[in-house]
Amino acid sequence: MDAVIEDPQNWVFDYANDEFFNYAREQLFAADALIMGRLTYEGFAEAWSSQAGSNEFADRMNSLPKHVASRTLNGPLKWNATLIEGDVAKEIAALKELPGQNILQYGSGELTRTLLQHELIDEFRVLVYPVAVGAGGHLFENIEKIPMKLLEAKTFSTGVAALHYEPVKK
Amino acid sequence: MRKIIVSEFVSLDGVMQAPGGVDEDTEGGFAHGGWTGPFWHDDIGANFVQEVSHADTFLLGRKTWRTHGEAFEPMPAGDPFGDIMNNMHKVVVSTTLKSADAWRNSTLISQNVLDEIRRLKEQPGKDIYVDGSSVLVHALAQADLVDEYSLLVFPLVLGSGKKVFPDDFRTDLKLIETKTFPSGVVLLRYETAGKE
Repeated sequence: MDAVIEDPQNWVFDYANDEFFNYAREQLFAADALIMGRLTYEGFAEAWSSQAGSNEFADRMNSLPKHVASRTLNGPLKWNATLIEGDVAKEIAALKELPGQNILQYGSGELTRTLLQHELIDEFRVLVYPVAVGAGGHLFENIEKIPMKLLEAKTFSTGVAALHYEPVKK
Repeated sequence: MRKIIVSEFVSLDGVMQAPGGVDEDTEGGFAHGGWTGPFWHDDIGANFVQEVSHADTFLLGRKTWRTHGEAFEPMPAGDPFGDIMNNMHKVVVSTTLKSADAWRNSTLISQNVLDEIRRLKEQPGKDIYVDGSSVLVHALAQADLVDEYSLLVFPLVLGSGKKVFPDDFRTDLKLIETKTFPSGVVLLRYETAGKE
């Protein structure tokens, strides 16, 4: 509720239930590629690889192709990931042109800002947890003003609100 | 005991500064004042009227009290919002104001602020309604004096500005109501644990 997004593993699991898992599952299975920055890549690759074979969500997460934006990593990458070579916005615009399902990014950070600047994001999904955690990085930090269109608002019985928005293009 | 209800307009990134006007509050170089305008809808006004029907007192910080007073005090009777705002009892919290004469039905709290507010809560009456007033809201939150947060989440990101919740403040809440307005604004109403 205070827009803090850092270290969600410290509080999201208190609110996980079937409704939430179904939502997360639907979202993941509607995507056939993941894009991420280096920080998410490093954290996710380690966390999800260790759960290989334990459930279909983890297996899907592990098997999907990932595209990683980074200035410091060198390929080849593990975890079915490839480094985005060259101009990130151009490469992701090209990825969008390919036939297929949704392209999903978990978390938000520098990559989100780059994609926003190039109007490459079609939808933002924000889960508002009924908790203020006080400290940590915030959603949309260092992002300029962006108006959005509300696409959908729903709530889970745990008090989590899922808000889906489309950024309004200039 | 009477409830203290904090009602705020917030952006998706939790900013509550200067929702109503360009020059309302430019502190910190805030340049986006008036950001609620494009998303206003009459149903939001109706929601406000409904919410404040359970209150008989506004508790406000100095700046918000002044902004509201300047807007509503000169209004002739008959305006639905003006009448509510002008007739309501206002309690303004300020250590610098000398008097609360500038807006009718206002009284001033300038010392022992939290004790005075606790006393106000214990008095018989309807709920106490707070809007804007970021400094006061932070103090109330940290003193566990807030019973409800009624947040109208506007569909935009502002990137910077004053926030509803103080830094380093942790609290668990219970979502008690949500409502979606036609302009894309979402009401999220939360109850606190009431640890006081």
